[in-house]
Amino acid sequence: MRHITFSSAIREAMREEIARDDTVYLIGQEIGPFGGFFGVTKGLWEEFGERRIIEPPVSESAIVGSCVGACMMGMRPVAEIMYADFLLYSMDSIVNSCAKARYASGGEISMPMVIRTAFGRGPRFSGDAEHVQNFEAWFAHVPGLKVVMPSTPYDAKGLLKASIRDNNPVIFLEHRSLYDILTGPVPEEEYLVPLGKADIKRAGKDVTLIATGAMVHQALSVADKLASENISVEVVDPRTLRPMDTDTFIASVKKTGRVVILHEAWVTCGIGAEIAAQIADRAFGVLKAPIKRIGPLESPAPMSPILKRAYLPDDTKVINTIKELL
Amino acid sequence: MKLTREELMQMFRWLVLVREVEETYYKLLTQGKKLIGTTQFGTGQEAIPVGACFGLRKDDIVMPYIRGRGVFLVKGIPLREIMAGLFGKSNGAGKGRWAHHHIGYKNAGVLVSSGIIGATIPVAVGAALAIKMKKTDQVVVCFFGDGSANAGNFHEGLNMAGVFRLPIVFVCENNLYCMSTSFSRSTAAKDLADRAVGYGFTGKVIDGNDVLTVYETVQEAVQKARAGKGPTLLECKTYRWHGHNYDDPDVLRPVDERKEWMSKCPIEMFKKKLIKEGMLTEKTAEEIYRDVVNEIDDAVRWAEEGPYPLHEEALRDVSIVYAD
Repeated sequence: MRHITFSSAIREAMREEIARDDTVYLIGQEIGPFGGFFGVTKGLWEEFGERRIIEPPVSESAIVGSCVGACMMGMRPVAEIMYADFLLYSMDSIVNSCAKARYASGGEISMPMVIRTAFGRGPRFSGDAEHVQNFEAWFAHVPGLKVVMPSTPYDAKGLLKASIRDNNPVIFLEHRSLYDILTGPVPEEEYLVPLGKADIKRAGKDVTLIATGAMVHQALSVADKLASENISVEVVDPRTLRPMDTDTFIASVKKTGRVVILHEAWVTCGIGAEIAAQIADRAFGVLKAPIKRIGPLESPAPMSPILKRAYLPDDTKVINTIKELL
Repeated sequence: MKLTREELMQMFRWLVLVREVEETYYKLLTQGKKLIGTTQFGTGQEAIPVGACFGLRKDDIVMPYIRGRGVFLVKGIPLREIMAGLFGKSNGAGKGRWAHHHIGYKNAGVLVSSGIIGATIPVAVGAALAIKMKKTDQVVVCFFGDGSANAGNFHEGLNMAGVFRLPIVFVCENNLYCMSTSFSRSTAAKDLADRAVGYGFTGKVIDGNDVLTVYETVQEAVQKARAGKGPTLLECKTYRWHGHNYDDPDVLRPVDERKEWMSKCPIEMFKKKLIKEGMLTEKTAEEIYRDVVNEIDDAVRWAEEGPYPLHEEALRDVSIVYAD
């Protein structure tokens, strides 16, 4: 099977859905001839033109708000917000206009829109504190929204296609360090990955390690290291954060009795808190140890090299946390 | 654009209906009826929704603002459903789930609105963007108050409409007050219409109490938008007769200011004009009032008899759930 990058997989998903459905269009800063700040939309403007690939002014609130209005008229917009942090600027449009529109209309209209955005730290990006944040918990908190975070090219393409076809609004979170660095197998044939279904990225029996985004790969690397010490780690990737596939987490915890949750958002009130609460609620009897959550330091992301290295948890931290549970 | 006698009478009836619906709402609250939602009235501002919506096509799109019950009515949402919405009934507009003054109605081209000041502007702009993409010649009329004109979304929305040359008319109902904060204390500009220049299109100040002026100016802007010539900003100066809402004792606005504006009642002025031109008599005007009151009484009765949404409906339409 061919291997393509995370970025190419996302681009293919958009390309196929734009070609398939006349009502699908893209809107975002610099997504036209520039090809998108991270190069994800490269070539799409040349292929589909400015009617389908729209470059708006720097107006994140109105960009998202305009998508809401377009949905009311039967369109299916896919907005690209350059940095997830800028979603804060669109919060009202997302939470008050978008998430509630279907409810407000008594089911007359729907919001078949996707907001794609890039988040997270990565080796090639400067990593300013206000350009790397992770707010999936804030969106997963809101009834009416769906929140998706793929970790592989295969998942990214299938989930984005499914998100575009979903008649609910979807916040689609792409870890920017994966764009050009991560490659993976992606079929040529048409396929979808369903929203609301987690994925066992690596089977194991001693510990359940639930990880999101780029940390899925760190989780796999940790699992590899621990395998040589005869500790078998099951890596679970939620893929969709709202609605969350808790059944898969519970099935895994029933096997292992131990859970560690690893994400790039701050631990306090992060998405791991919700996962932990659901597991504690439904699998309390089978837990052999407390549920652990690992995330970055509780500070804005620092810039200077030594602080920067200390910010995200390294493999050692994850390994030690796992070993404490055994 | 000359209106026939029939059309002028219809316009007069709309003004009377909008006024009487607002005053009925006020009366129902005074009677202690169990109504839902916040209680804003458009009394005194009737000429704007009536004048603006009168010439619109059924497939034109409107984004009302909080005092926009008149927009609902003239654009074609049945009065019974609007009334049932006030009572929070499940057969009312909004099905009891959403504030009755923010409901949408697909068949009448009314967009769902939000209570966040300014939030509706980008949504209306998005509807206009969709129209341009679909290449239909529909037009969007976006209503908002003077308060919205200072929100960031106003700036973002109008600029986007200007740069994309969208088929949208922005109608600002400047009633000179937010709640108790006057226009002059909150806005550095003298006229909001002046801001249009900054967005690449024309702005006009008009008398928001003269229904024919509103009608003609909005029609001109609508035709311009329909012809692909882009947006217009119309600032309609007007005044609300009641406080911000039912609970507002309205003691902070100067008494003589209110008196002066109330003497410029849009309905009285239009009635006088029609009588002077021989199109209407006092007797016919009274008949119209009586007919309107009957229509409203029927709607209130229908609304009171309607069902409330029940617990089983609580999670309906939050998200679309697909069967596995």
